[in-house]
Amino acid sequence: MFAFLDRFLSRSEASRDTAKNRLKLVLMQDRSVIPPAVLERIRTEVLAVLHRYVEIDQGALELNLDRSEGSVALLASVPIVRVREDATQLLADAVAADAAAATAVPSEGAPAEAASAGADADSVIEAVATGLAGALSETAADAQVGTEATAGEAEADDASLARPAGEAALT
Amino acid sequence: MATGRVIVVTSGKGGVGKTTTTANLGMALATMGEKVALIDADIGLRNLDLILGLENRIVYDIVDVVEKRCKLRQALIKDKRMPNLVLLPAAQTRDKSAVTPEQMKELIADLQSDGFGFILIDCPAGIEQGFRNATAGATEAVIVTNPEVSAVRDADRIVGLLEAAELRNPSLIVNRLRPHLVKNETMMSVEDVQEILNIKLLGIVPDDEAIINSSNRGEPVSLHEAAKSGQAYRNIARRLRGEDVPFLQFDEGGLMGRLRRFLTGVR
Repeated sequence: MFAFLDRFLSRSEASRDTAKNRLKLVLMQDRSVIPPAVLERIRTEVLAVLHRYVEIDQGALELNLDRSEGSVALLASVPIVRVREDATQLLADAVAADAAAATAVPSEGAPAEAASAGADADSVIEAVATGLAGALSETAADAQVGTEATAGEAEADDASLARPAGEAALT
Repeated sequence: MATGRVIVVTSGKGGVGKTTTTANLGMALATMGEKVALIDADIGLRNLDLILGLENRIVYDIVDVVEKRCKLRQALIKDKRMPNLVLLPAAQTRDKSAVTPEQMKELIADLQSDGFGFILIDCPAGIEQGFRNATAGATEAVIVTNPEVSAVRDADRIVGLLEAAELRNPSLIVNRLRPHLVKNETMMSVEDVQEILNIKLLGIVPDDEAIINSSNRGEPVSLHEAAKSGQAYRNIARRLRGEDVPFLQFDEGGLMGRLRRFLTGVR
Protein backbone atom coordinates (compact mmCIF):
# COMPACT_ATOMS: atom_id res chain seq x y z
CA MET A 1 0.00 0.00 0.00
CA PHE A 2 2.83 2.35 0.90
CA ALA A 3 4.58 1.41 -2.28
CA PHE A 4 1.46 2.29 -4.16
CA LEU A 5 1.04 5.62 -2.39
CA ASP A 6 4.69 6.40 -2.85
CA ARG A 7 4.43 5.78 -6.57
CA PHE A 8 1.22 7.70 -6.79
CA LEU A 9 2.71 10.72 -5.07
CA SER A 10 6.16 10.67 -6.61
CA ARG A 11 5.02 9.28 -9.96
CA SER A 12 8.01 6.98 -9.96
CA GLU A 13 7.82 3.68 -11.77
CA ALA A 14 7.20 0.50 -9.78
CA SER A 15 10.49 -1.31 -9.27
CA ARG A 16 8.86 -4.39 -10.71
CA ASP A 17 8.47 -2.54 -14.01
CA THR A 18 11.94 -1.06 -13.76
CA ALA A 19 13.34 -4.55 -13.33
CA LYS A 20 11.39 -5.81 -16.29
CA ASN A 21 12.43 -2.98 -18.57
CA ARG A 22 16.08 -3.12 -17.58
CA LEU A 23 16.11 -6.86 -18.15
CA LYS A 24 14.53 -6.52 -21.56
CA LEU A 25 17.21 -4.06 -22.59
CA VAL A 26 20.14 -6.02 -21.27
CA LEU A 27 18.84 -9.26 -22.75
CA MET A 28 18.53 -7.58 -26.12
CA GLN A 29 22.27 -7.13 -26.06
CA ASP A 30 22.94 -10.53 -24.51
CA ARG A 31 20.88 -12.28 -27.13
CA SER A 32 22.15 -10.41 -30.15
CA VAL A 33 25.02 -12.01 -31.94
CA ILE A 34 26.88 -8.71 -32.03
CA PRO A 35 29.32 -8.67 -29.15
CA PRO A 36 29.82 -5.33 -27.37
CA ALA A 37 33.32 -5.00 -28.78
CA VAL A 38 32.03 -5.29 -32.32
CA LEU A 39 29.23 -2.85 -31.58
CA GLU A 40 31.78 -0.39 -30.28
CA ARG A 41 33.82 -0.81 -33.43
CA ILE A 42 30.78 -0.23 -35.62
CA ARG A 43 30.16 2.88 -33.58
CA THR A 44 33.64 4.29 -34.05
CA GLU A 45 33.74 3.45 -37.74
CA VAL A 46 30.33 4.93 -38.43
CA LEU A 47 31.35 7.96 -36.43
CA ALA A 48 34.56 8.36 -38.40
CA VAL A 49 32.70 8.33 -41.71
CA LEU A 50 30.01 10.73 -40.52
CA HIS A 51 32.67 12.98 -39.11
CA ARG A 52 34.10 13.60 -42.56
CA TYR A 53 30.91 15.32 -43.63
CA VAL A 54 29.23 16.66 -40.56
CA GLU A 55 30.22 17.89 -37.17
CA ILE A 56 28.64 15.57 -34.66
CA ASP A 57 27.79 15.93 -31.02
CA GLN A 58 29.77 12.84 -30.11
CA GLY A 59 28.60 12.77 -26.52
CA ALA A 60 24.99 12.50 -27.62
CA LEU A 61 25.56 9.80 -30.22
CA GLU A 62 23.44 6.78 -29.51
CA LEU A 63 23.88 3.41 -31.09
CA ASN A 64 21.58 0.68 -29.84
CA LEU A 65 20.28 -2.70 -30.76
CA ASP A 66 16.57 -3.12 -30.92
CA ARG A 67 14.87 -6.46 -31.16
CA SER A 68 11.39 -6.89 -32.46
CA GLU A 69 9.54 -9.74 -34.11
CA GLY A 70 12.58 -11.93 -34.31
CA SER A 71 14.87 -9.49 -36.07
CA VAL A 72 17.51 -7.23 -34.64
CA ALA A 73 17.79 -3.62 -35.71
CA LEU A 74 20.68 -1.29 -35.15
CA LEU A 75 19.38 2.16 -34.28
CA ALA A 76 21.65 5.16 -34.44
CA SER A 77 20.74 8.63 -33.32
CA VAL A 78 23.35 11.15 -34.41
CA PRO A 79 22.81 14.78 -33.45
CA ILE A 80 24.46 17.01 -36.06
CA VAL A 81 26.01 20.20 -34.86
CA ARG A 82 27.03 21.54 -38.25
CA VAL A 83 27.47 20.32 -41.80
CA ARG A 84 30.99 20.81 -43.03
CA GLU A 85 31.38 23.38 -45.77
CA ASP A 86 33.48 21.12 -47.92
CA ALA A 87 31.02 18.25 -47.56
CA THR A 88 30.10 18.12 -51.24
CA GLN A 89 33.70 18.06 -52.36
CA LEU A 90 34.48 15.39 -49.82
CA LEU A 91 31.49 13.41 -50.97
CA ALA A 92 32.67 13.48 -54.54
CA ASP A 93 36.12 12.39 -53.42
CA ALA A 94 34.65 9.67 -51.26
CA VAL A 95 32.47 8.29 -54.02
CA ALA A 96 35.45 8.32 -56.30
CA ALA A 97 37.44 6.43 -53.72
CA ASP A 98 34.56 4.02 -53.23
CA ALA A 99 34.16 4.72 -49.53
CA ALA A 100 33.29 1.58 -47.70
CA ALA A 101 30.90 0.80 -44.85
CA ALA A 102 27.42 1.88 -43.96
CA THR A 103 26.97 5.52 -43.37
CA ALA A 104 24.75 8.50 -43.72
CA VAL A 105 25.78 11.10 -46.23
CA PRO A 106 24.63 14.68 -46.23
CA SER A 107 21.66 15.36 -48.42
CA GLU A 108 22.34 19.05 -48.74
CA GLY A 109 22.99 20.13 -52.29
CA ALA A 110 23.88 23.68 -51.48
CA PRO A 111 26.76 23.80 -49.06
CA ALA A 112 26.45 27.47 -48.26
CA GLU A 113 22.89 27.22 -47.08
CA ALA A 114 23.52 23.90 -45.47
CA ALA A 115 26.25 25.35 -43.37
CA SER A 116 23.94 27.85 -41.81
CA ALA A 117 21.12 25.38 -41.49
CA GLY A 118 23.49 22.89 -39.97
CA ALA A 119 23.94 25.05 -36.92
CA ASP A 120 20.56 23.76 -35.85
CA ALA A 121 21.37 21.15 -33.27
CA ASP A 122 18.04 19.48 -33.84
CA SER A 123 19.28 17.96 -37.06
CA VAL A 124 19.39 14.28 -36.49
CA ILE A 125 20.41 11.45 -38.68
CA GLU A 126 18.73 8.20 -37.87
CA ALA A 127 20.14 5.13 -39.41
CA VAL A 128 18.29 1.87 -39.19
CA ALA A 129 19.96 -1.30 -40.26
CA THR A 130 17.83 -4.38 -39.90
CA GLY A 131 18.84 -7.97 -40.13
CA LEU A 132 22.24 -7.22 -38.69
CA ALA A 133 22.22 -10.25 -36.49
CA GLY A 134 22.67 -12.64 -39.33
CA ALA A 135 24.75 -10.41 -41.52
CA LEU A 136 27.63 -8.91 -39.67
CA SER A 137 29.79 -8.94 -42.74
CA GLU A 138 27.30 -6.95 -44.74
CA THR A 139 26.81 -4.50 -41.96
CA ALA A 140 24.29 -2.16 -43.47
CA ALA A 141 22.68 -4.13 -46.23
CA ASP A 142 19.28 -2.60 -45.66
CA ALA A 143 20.40 0.71 -44.29
CA GLN A 144 17.76 3.35 -44.35
CA VAL A 145 19.03 6.82 -43.82
CA GLY A 146 16.86 9.75 -43.09
CA THR A 147 17.85 13.29 -42.28
CA GLU A 148 15.56 15.69 -40.58
CA ALA A 149 17.08 18.97 -41.66
CA THR A 150 14.90 21.78 -40.49
CA ALA A 151 16.19 24.22 -43.11
CA GLY A 152 13.94 22.60 -45.66
CA GLU A 153 16.47 23.43 -48.38
CA ALA A 154 17.68 19.90 -48.64
CA GLU A 155 17.80 18.45 -52.11
CA ALA A 156 19.13 15.03 -52.85
CA ASP A 157 22.42 15.41 -54.61
CA ASP A 158 22.78 13.00 -57.50
CA ALA A 159 26.08 11.94 -56.10
CA SER A 160 24.48 10.95 -52.83
CA LEU A 161 22.47 8.26 -54.59
CA ALA A 162 25.69 6.53 -55.45
CA ARG A 163 26.49 5.82 -51.82
CA PRO A 164 27.64 2.34 -51.15
CA ALA A 165 24.91 1.35 -48.73
CA GLY A 166 22.75 -0.99 -50.79
CA GLU A 167 19.08 -0.04 -50.69
CA ALA A 168 19.51 3.11 -48.69
CA ALA A 169 16.86 5.74 -49.22
CA LEU A 170 16.58 9.32 -48.24
CA THR A 171 13.48 10.59 -46.57
CA MET B 1 16.57 -50.32 -24.09
CA ALA B 2 16.96 -47.71 -21.38
CA THR B 3 14.06 -45.32 -21.21
CA GLY B 4 14.67 -43.44 -17.97
CA ARG B 5 14.28 -39.72 -18.24
CA VAL B 6 17.40 -37.70 -17.63
CA ILE B 7 16.68 -34.19 -16.41
CA VAL B 8 19.31 -31.60 -15.60
CA VAL B 9 18.35 -28.95 -13.05
CA THR B 10 20.26 -25.81 -13.88
CA SER B 11 20.19 -22.03 -13.47
CA GLY B 12 23.44 -20.30 -14.35
CA LYS B 13 23.35 -18.21 -11.21
CA GLY B 14 24.19 -19.74 -7.88
CA GLY B 15 21.92 -19.69 -4.89
CA VAL B 16 18.59 -19.75 -6.69
CA GLY B 17 17.63 -23.16 -5.32
CA LYS B 18 18.88 -25.79 -7.75
CA THR B 19 19.95 -28.22 -5.07
CA THR B 20 16.80 -27.76 -3.01
CA THR B 21 14.74 -28.24 -6.15
CA THR B 22 16.62 -31.39 -7.16
CA ALA B 23 16.26 -32.88 -3.68
CA ASN B 24 12.57 -32.09 -3.44
CA LEU B 25 11.61 -33.22 -6.92
CA GLY B 26 13.58 -36.44 -6.41
CA MET B 27 11.90 -37.07 -3.10
CA ALA B 28 8.44 -36.24 -4.43
CA LEU B 29 8.87 -38.46 -7.49
CA ALA B 30 10.08 -41.32 -5.31
CA THR B 31 7.08 -40.85 -3.03
CA MET B 32 4.92 -41.30 -6.11
CA GLY B 33 6.53 -44.66 -6.76
CA GLU B 34 9.16 -43.68 -9.31
CA LYS B 35 12.62 -45.19 -9.14
CA VAL B 36 14.80 -42.10 -8.88
CA ALA B 37 18.53 -41.45 -9.01
CA LEU B 38 19.93 -38.05 -8.08
CA ILE B 39 23.37 -37.06 -9.32
CA ASP B 40 25.25 -34.27 -7.59
CA ALA B 41 27.35 -32.82 -10.42
CA ASP B 42 28.71 -30.00 -8.27
CA ILE B 43 32.11 -31.58 -7.74
CA GLY B 44 34.12 -29.76 -5.09
CA LEU B 45 31.05 -28.09 -3.61
CA ARG B 46 28.76 -30.97 -2.80
CA ASN B 47 25.56 -30.16 -0.97
CA LEU B 48 22.80 -32.37 -2.28
CA ASP B 49 23.75 -34.97 0.33
CA LEU B 50 23.31 -32.39 3.07
CA ILE B 51 19.91 -31.19 1.87
CA LEU B 52 18.75 -34.82 1.71
CA GLY B 53 20.21 -35.66 5.11
CA LEU B 54 22.50 -38.34 3.65
CA GLU B 55 25.85 -36.71 4.37
CA ASN B 56 26.92 -39.26 6.95
CA ARG B 57 26.43 -42.22 4.67
CA ILE B 58 28.84 -41.32 1.89
CA VAL B 59 31.56 -43.90 1.27
CA TYR B 60 32.27 -43.49 -2.43
CA ASP B 61 31.50 -40.64 -4.78
CA ILE B 62 31.11 -39.93 -8.48
CA VAL B 63 34.86 -39.52 -9.04
CA ASP B 64 35.51 -42.89 -7.38
CA VAL B 65 33.09 -44.39 -9.87
CA VAL B 66 34.58 -42.82 -12.99
CA GLU B 67 38.10 -43.60 -11.81
CA LYS B 68 37.00 -47.19 -11.20
CA ARG B 69 37.79 -47.37 -7.51
CA CYS B 70 34.31 -48.76 -6.93
CA LYS B 71 31.27 -50.04 -8.76
CA LEU B 72 28.46 -47.60 -9.52
CA ARG B 73 26.12 -49.47 -7.19
CA GLN B 74 28.55 -49.17 -4.30
CA ALA B 75 28.54 -45.37 -4.61
CA LEU B 76 24.75 -45.03 -4.73
CA ILE B 77 23.29 -44.10 -1.35
CA LYS B 78 19.82 -45.45 -0.72
CA ASP B 79 17.52 -43.17 1.17
CA LYS B 80 16.17 -45.12 4.13
CA ARG B 81 12.98 -43.02 4.23
CA MET B 82 12.37 -43.73 0.58
CA PRO B 83 14.05 -46.89 -0.69
CA ASN B 84 13.47 -46.11 -4.37
CA LEU B 85 15.50 -42.90 -4.09
CA VAL B 86 19.28 -43.03 -4.46
CA LEU B 87 21.97 -40.36 -4.47
CA LEU B 88 25.25 -40.40 -6.34
CA PRO B 89 27.24 -37.85 -4.35
CA ALA B 90 29.80 -35.44 -5.77
CA ALA B 91 33.42 -35.60 -4.68
CA GLN B 92 34.28 -32.86 -2.25
CA THR B 93 38.07 -32.75 -2.64
CA ARG B 94 38.29 -32.67 -6.43
CA ASP B 95 37.21 -30.19 -9.08
CA LYS B 96 34.99 -30.16 -12.15
CA SER B 97 37.76 -31.49 -14.39
CA ALA B 98 37.73 -34.80 -12.51
CA VAL B 99 34.84 -35.96 -14.69
CA THR B 100 34.38 -35.62 -18.46
CA PRO B 101 31.13 -35.32 -20.40
CA GLU B 102 31.80 -38.76 -21.92
CA GLN B 103 32.11 -40.31 -18.47
CA MET B 104 28.87 -38.66 -17.41
CA LYS B 105 27.11 -40.16 -20.40
CA GLU B 106 28.39 -43.62 -19.57
CA LEU B 107 27.37 -43.26 -15.97
CA ILE B 108 23.86 -42.17 -16.94
CA ALA B 109 23.52 -45.04 -19.39
CA ASP B 110 24.44 -47.43 -16.56
CA LEU B 111 21.80 -45.89 -14.29
CA GLN B 112 19.23 -46.18 -17.06
CA SER B 113 20.00 -49.84 -17.57
CA ASP B 114 19.64 -50.31 -13.80
CA GLY B 115 16.01 -49.32 -14.28
CA PHE B 116 15.89 -45.80 -12.91
CA GLY B 117 12.88 -44.02 -14.37
CA PHE B 118 14.06 -40.56 -13.40
CA ILE B 119 17.65 -39.41 -13.25
CA LEU B 120 17.92 -35.85 -11.95
CA ILE B 121 21.22 -34.03 -12.24
CA ASP B 122 21.99 -31.16 -9.89
CA CYS B 123 24.03 -28.83 -12.08
CA PRO B 124 26.65 -26.55 -10.53
CA ALA B 125 26.35 -22.78 -10.95
CA GLY B 126 28.22 -21.29 -13.86
CA ILE B 127 28.56 -22.15 -17.52
CA GLU B 128 31.95 -23.84 -17.54
CA GLN B 129 32.95 -27.48 -17.42
CA GLY B 130 30.64 -28.32 -14.53
CA PHE B 131 27.72 -27.17 -16.65
CA ARG B 132 28.97 -29.09 -19.68
CA ASN B 133 29.33 -32.26 -17.59
CA ALA B 134 25.91 -31.91 -16.03
CA THR B 135 24.16 -31.34 -19.34
CA ALA B 136 26.13 -33.92 -21.32
CA GLY B 137 23.92 -36.91 -20.67
CA ALA B 138 20.65 -35.07 -20.10
CA THR B 139 17.70 -35.27 -22.44
CA GLU B 140 15.58 -32.65 -20.68
CA ALA B 141 16.37 -29.48 -18.78
CA VAL B 142 14.66 -27.62 -15.99
CA ILE B 143 15.78 -24.05 -15.37
CA VAL B 144 15.37 -22.68 -11.88
CA THR B 145 15.24 -18.94 -11.44
CA ASN B 146 14.15 -16.31 -8.97
CA PRO B 147 12.01 -13.28 -9.88
CA GLU B 148 15.07 -11.08 -9.71
CA VAL B 149 17.10 -9.39 -12.45
CA SER B 150 20.41 -11.22 -12.17
CA ALA B 151 18.81 -14.67 -11.86
CA VAL B 152 16.58 -14.06 -14.88
CA ARG B 153 19.44 -12.73 -16.96
CA ASP B 154 21.52 -15.80 -16.18
CA ALA B 155 18.57 -18.06 -16.90
CA ASP B 156 18.26 -16.47 -20.32
CA ARG B 157 21.91 -17.19 -21.00
CA ILE B 158 21.34 -20.79 -19.96
CA VAL B 159 18.44 -21.12 -22.38
CA GLY B 160 20.83 -20.19 -25.18
CA LEU B 161 23.58 -22.53 -23.98
CA LEU B 162 21.16 -25.42 -23.60
CA GLU B 163 19.98 -24.85 -27.13
CA ALA B 164 23.56 -24.98 -28.33
CA ALA B 165 23.90 -28.27 -26.44
CA GLU B 166 20.84 -29.64 -28.28
CA LEU B 167 18.71 -29.47 -25.14
CA ARG B 168 15.70 -27.71 -26.54
CA ASN B 169 12.47 -26.72 -24.85
CA PRO B 170 13.70 -26.38 -21.28
CA SER B 171 11.00 -25.73 -18.73
CA LEU B 172 11.00 -23.10 -16.02
CA ILE B 173 10.61 -23.16 -12.27
CA VAL B 174 10.18 -19.76 -10.68
CA ASN B 175 11.50 -20.24 -7.17
CA ARG B 176 11.32 -17.96 -4.13
CA LEU B 177 8.29 -16.04 -5.29
CA ARG B 178 7.08 -13.55 -2.70
CA PRO B 179 3.45 -12.90 -3.61
CA HIS B 180 3.02 -9.88 -1.35
CA LEU B 181 5.98 -8.16 -3.04
CA VAL B 182 4.47 -8.89 -6.42
CA LYS B 183 1.26 -7.36 -5.17
CA ASN B 184 3.21 -4.28 -4.06
CA GLU B 185 4.77 -4.16 -7.50
CA THR B 186 8.22 -4.48 -5.99
CA MET B 187 8.89 -7.93 -7.40
CA MET B 188 8.49 -9.29 -10.90
CA SER B 189 5.59 -11.66 -11.25
CA VAL B 190 5.76 -15.14 -12.69
CA GLU B 191 4.13 -13.79 -15.84
CA ASP B 192 6.80 -11.08 -16.09
CA VAL B 193 9.58 -13.65 -15.85
CA GLN B 194 7.85 -15.95 -18.27
CA GLU B 195 7.28 -13.15 -20.75
CA ILE B 196 10.97 -12.31 -20.70
CA LEU B 197 12.33 -15.85 -20.90
CA ASN B 198 9.56 -17.20 -23.09
CA ILE B 199 9.86 -20.85 -22.08
CA LYS B 200 7.30 -23.27 -20.75
CA LEU B 201 6.40 -22.83 -17.08
CA LEU B 202 6.79 -26.01 -15.02
CA GLY B 203 6.12 -24.63 -11.58
CA ILE B 204 6.04 -21.82 -9.07
CA VAL B 205 7.57 -22.23 -5.63
CA PRO B 206 6.88 -19.58 -3.01
CA ASP B 207 9.59 -18.30 -0.72
CA ASP B 208 9.00 -20.30 2.42
CA GLU B 209 10.58 -20.39 5.85
CA ALA B 210 9.77 -24.08 5.97
CA ILE B 211 12.56 -24.64 3.44
CA ILE B 212 15.19 -23.24 5.78
CA ASN B 213 13.88 -25.48 8.52
CA SER B 214 13.87 -28.54 6.32
CA SER B 215 17.38 -27.85 5.04
CA ASN B 216 18.54 -27.51 8.63
CA ARG B 217 17.17 -30.96 9.35
CA GLY B 218 18.03 -32.64 6.08
CA GLU B 219 14.39 -33.44 5.39
CA PRO B 220 13.15 -32.21 2.02
CA VAL B 221 10.13 -29.97 2.41
CA SER B 222 8.18 -32.03 -0.12
CA LEU B 223 7.78 -34.59 2.66
CA HIS B 224 5.82 -32.06 4.68
CA GLU B 225 2.16 -32.04 3.86
CA ALA B 226 1.42 -28.62 5.30
CA ALA B 227 4.16 -26.52 3.74
CA LYS B 228 3.09 -24.50 0.72
CA SER B 229 6.52 -24.96 -0.89
CA GLY B 230 6.27 -28.71 -0.32
CA GLN B 231 2.94 -28.68 -2.10
CA ALA B 232 4.53 -26.72 -4.94
CA TYR B 233 7.30 -29.29 -5.35
CA ARG B 234 4.86 -32.19 -5.28
CA ASN B 235 2.84 -30.47 -7.97
CA ILE B 236 5.92 -30.05 -10.12
CA ALA B 237 6.77 -33.73 -9.68
CA ARG B 238 3.28 -34.64 -10.83
CA ARG B 239 3.64 -32.41 -13.87
CA LEU B 240 6.94 -34.11 -14.68
CA ARG B 241 5.05 -37.39 -14.69
CA GLY B 242 2.65 -35.96 -17.22
CA GLU B 243 -0.22 -34.96 -14.99
CA ASP B 244 -2.03 -31.74 -15.66
CA VAL B 245 -1.91 -29.93 -12.33
CA PRO B 246 -3.10 -26.33 -11.99
CA PHE B 247 -0.53 -23.83 -10.75
CA LEU B 248 -0.72 -22.86 -7.11
CA GLN B 249 -2.81 -19.83 -6.32
CA PHE B 250 -1.15 -17.27 -4.14
CA ASP B 251 -3.61 -14.89 -2.69
CA GLU B 252 -2.85 -11.73 -4.54
CA GLY B 253 -5.57 -10.36 -2.35
CA GLY B 254 -8.46 -8.08 -3.07
CA LEU B 255 -10.35 -7.26 -6.15
CA MET B 256 -7.36 -6.24 -8.25
CA GLY B 257 -5.62 -9.57 -7.89
CA ARG B 258 -8.73 -11.48 -8.82
CA LEU B 259 -9.39 -9.12 -11.66
CA ARG B 260 -5.87 -9.51 -12.99
CA ARG B 261 -6.10 -13.27 -12.80
CA PHE B 262 -9.43 -13.14 -14.54
CA LEU B 263 -8.17 -10.85 -17.29
CA THR B 264 -4.86 -12.60 -17.89
CA GLY B 265 -6.31 -16.04 -17.51
CA VAL B 266 -3.37 -16.95 -15.30
CA ARG B 267 -4.21 -19.34 -12.52
